[in-house]
Amino acid sequence: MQKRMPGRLDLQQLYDEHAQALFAFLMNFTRDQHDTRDLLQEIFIKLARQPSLLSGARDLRAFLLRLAHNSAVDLMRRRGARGKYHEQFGVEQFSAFNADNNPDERAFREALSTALGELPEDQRAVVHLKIWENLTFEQIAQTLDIPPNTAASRYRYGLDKLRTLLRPLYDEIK
Amino acid sequence: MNMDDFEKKLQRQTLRQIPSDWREAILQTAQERTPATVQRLAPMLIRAVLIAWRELVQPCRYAWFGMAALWLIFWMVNAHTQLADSAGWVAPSTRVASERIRFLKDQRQVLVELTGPIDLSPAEPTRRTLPKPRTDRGASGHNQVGMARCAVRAAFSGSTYAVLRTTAPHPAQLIIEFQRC
Repeated sequence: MQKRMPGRLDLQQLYDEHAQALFAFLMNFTRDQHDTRDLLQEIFIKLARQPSLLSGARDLRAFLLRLAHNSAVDLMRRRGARGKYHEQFGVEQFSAFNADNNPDERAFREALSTALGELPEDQRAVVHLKIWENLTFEQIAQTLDIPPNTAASRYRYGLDKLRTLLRPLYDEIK
Repeated sequence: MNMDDFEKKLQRQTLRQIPSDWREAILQTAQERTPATVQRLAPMLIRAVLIAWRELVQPCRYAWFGMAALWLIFWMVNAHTQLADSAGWVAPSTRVASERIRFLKDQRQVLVELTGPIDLSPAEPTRRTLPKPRTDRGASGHNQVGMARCAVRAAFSGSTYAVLRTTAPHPAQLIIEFQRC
């Protein structure tokens, strides 16, 4: 039986345990599947090159999300013009949510995806981490390198905006 | 902080699954970059070359190849010129320059015949007069300066004088001697 290298085993395990969460976060942040893939690849290459990065991490998931966030912010800065192009001309953006057979649910998910796209990136990141990663404000603050109060206020603003944008549909299907 | 119904509704929305074909590709690409793989592939020197190649050359390979091509062209032109020189071929510009040099040498020869040989020996250094004792300098200096003033005034009034000697042992003192012609 071929012996597996420790590095390969770690990377695989890391991928199996955290890639889905990173994918969802990056999809929500970048709104683009190609960018998400590039960033995910970049993160795993970084980890492969420097396995010591993980040695200091207390919460592995939070650390990886932080890595993903920093890479995404860098990418957004590099591709600022392209982001504007997406916004202005409505180039196809991938939804971060699964398709649903129920038409009401499908409509709500599409509306939610659009509403999330209208949030500023920093609010969107906090909302994602709070709602879909179930992180506390303390953990979010550590992940995004912001004070906990800022994380809480960004979440409140983001959620209020989502509520305003989705209220008609939400009230209708409730 | 308790979640309200709206937040719970959001939470129930299932996120998309990561495409399954990404796993192999991402892990394989990452695997190729692990230090263990690089270490296993090559000894230290080759590893340094590989790292240098990956970090320096690969990111801007077109620029490097362009420069290499340019260097090759320069080298070929240089080699061609050296080859031509060694074969006895003289460029037209070199021929013109040697003709000019010969013409200048002829002109110099004519100048020497007309004016005599040019003395190229180093010039004799100027002799500095030793300063007189301070007591002598004061009185004579004043007198000589006064004399010079008179002589200059006379020269401007129409008389002709010849300057015999001018010495300046000190910058503050100018001694001019005149003789009426």
